[in-house]
Amino acid sequence: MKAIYKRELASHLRGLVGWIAIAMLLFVTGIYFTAYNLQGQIPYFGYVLGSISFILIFLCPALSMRTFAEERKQKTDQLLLSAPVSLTSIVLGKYLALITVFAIPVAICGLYPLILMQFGHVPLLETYTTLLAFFLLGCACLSVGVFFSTLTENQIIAFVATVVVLLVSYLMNGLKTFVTGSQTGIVLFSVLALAAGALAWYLARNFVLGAVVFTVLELLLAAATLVKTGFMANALDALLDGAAMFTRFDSFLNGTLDLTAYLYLFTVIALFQFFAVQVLEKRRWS
Amino acid sequence: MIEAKNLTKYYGSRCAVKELSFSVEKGQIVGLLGPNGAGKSTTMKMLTGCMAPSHGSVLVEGYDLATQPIKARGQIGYLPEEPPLYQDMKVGEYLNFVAELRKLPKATRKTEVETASKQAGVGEVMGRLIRNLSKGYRQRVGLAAALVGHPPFLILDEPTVGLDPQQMIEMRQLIQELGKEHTVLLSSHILSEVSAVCDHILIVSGGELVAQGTPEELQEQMQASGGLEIVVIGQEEVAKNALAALEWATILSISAENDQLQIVLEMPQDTQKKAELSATLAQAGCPVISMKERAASLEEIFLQVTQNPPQRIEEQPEQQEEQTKEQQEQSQQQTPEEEQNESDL
Repeated sequence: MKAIYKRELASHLRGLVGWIAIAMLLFVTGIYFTAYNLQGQIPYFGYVLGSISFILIFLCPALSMRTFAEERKQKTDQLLLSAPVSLTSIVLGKYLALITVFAIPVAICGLYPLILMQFGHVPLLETYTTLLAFFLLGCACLSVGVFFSTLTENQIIAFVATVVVLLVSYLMNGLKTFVTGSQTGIVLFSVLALAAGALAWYLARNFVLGAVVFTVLELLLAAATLVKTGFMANALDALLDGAAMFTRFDSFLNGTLDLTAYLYLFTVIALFQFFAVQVLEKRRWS
Repeated sequence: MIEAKNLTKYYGSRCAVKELSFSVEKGQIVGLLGPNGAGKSTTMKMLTGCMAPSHGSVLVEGYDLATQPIKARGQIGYLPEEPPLYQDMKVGEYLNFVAELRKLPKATRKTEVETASKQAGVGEVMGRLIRNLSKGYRQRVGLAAALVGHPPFLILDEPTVGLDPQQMIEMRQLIQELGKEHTVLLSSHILSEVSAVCDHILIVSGGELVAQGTPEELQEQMQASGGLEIVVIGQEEVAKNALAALEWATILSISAENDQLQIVLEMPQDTQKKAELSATLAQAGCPVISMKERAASLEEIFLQVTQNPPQRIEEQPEQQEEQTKEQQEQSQQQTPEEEQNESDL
């Protein structure tokens, strides 16, 4: 894992993309810092982070897109796969290198509140908990990006797919107003059940199994809907909320320390890393 | 020892490798020979753990690749068809990375990299970017990477592909050199390469093992059908009549050139019979001026086993017997055309 981490980090810092991403983040942060904190005279740096969180939608995929896509294209993945290392350590080594690159501009952002301290009282604790949440949000975006990078050998496809997913997640609060109510819930969950059935069919190459999975899920849905009124609407709401990564970050802007948000972001990171390992494992078998 | 048991790989519904079983003994240089698309690369990917077989197993030094993958993979140095090189690294950096990836202790890493680079002959390009290297050097760097840490087994997938003739010769010499200390399994679709370098040959076609053995054994297997080629001086009719007296000899073909006759005979390959043949012909006034066993060349064996579906090969001995009987029945009254066809078979 250490070997992969070191090589990957060196490779990011040797190439242009890493430095451009770092510069972009610092540039946009600088603009908002000047506007809010210096000219607007707001002592809380968190507002700057809240305003620039959208940039992660483009920045993180740009950093993560080549992680596995490029390895596959250059056929260097065969070196890693035939080496005496586990898939998990390959994925984690690469992911940690990405996080390290992302940590560079975040660490520099950590200096801004100290600058502000020269001019008066600054809510340091609130600022740094928000900065940590911002860092974790970026890590979650990177994790999603790594996952999409394992799916294709084309960097651009990996980039676009990640941007679309992150964009949907970013806009989820707005999108949610269009999809509410039991009917939409039933349709959406049925589609998900169908997808699960199709996946089971594809993975096990067994149509009957897929059909059984779909039927069981549908029956469970029907039972839940009948037993508990409003179940569908609530479940739909919870599902959509779960997909809204960026909303979780916003709660920090009120000055609350939302531990569940930290936990949520860690979960997202772990989940997509797990998926990435599974995709690679699947590829070995297919 | 690498032991492959019933290796099978399906890509979707297409079967790339089918029930392939073989073992690579320690200290051998084994050649995996087959036409393009025979499943050589797929087999090698399965042996190195890059790809899992649909079913079947691989044992490397007793470690099962499925249950103890890390230990098993640690025994193998693998050079894929396209060397897995990071374009943005320098050769030295790359080899160091491979050493670290293979979990060599820090103390020995430097010397291991030096030894490997010296063996593969990339010592003088250690400071250059891989992107700027020629194809030949890239291949060598790939080989150096496979050699790092001195793994007991080397699996080389078409190591000479894309090299110029001079480099090919060098690469072959290098592989023979490596064969002294490592067990080598190499794949190739070039027959002369395999017969020059390898101790043992596995011929695959359509994902199945169709023949195996040492180059000599393979030739021997085919020798029975090879027959004897003699050149005599004299009349065709006279020679034919003389040969008709020898019931164990069958004429496969006769061709006349100036006053010499070239005759291919199907007959037992033993000295006694040869002497008898020679004496008979001499008495009839057709002195034998040359006699040689017509062994099927490896080239012929290769074409034969890879072009025919595997089932036909098993049937071949029977077919030949039938042919012989037919020929005996028809005696020598064959037209030259028919004879030509027979000899082509």
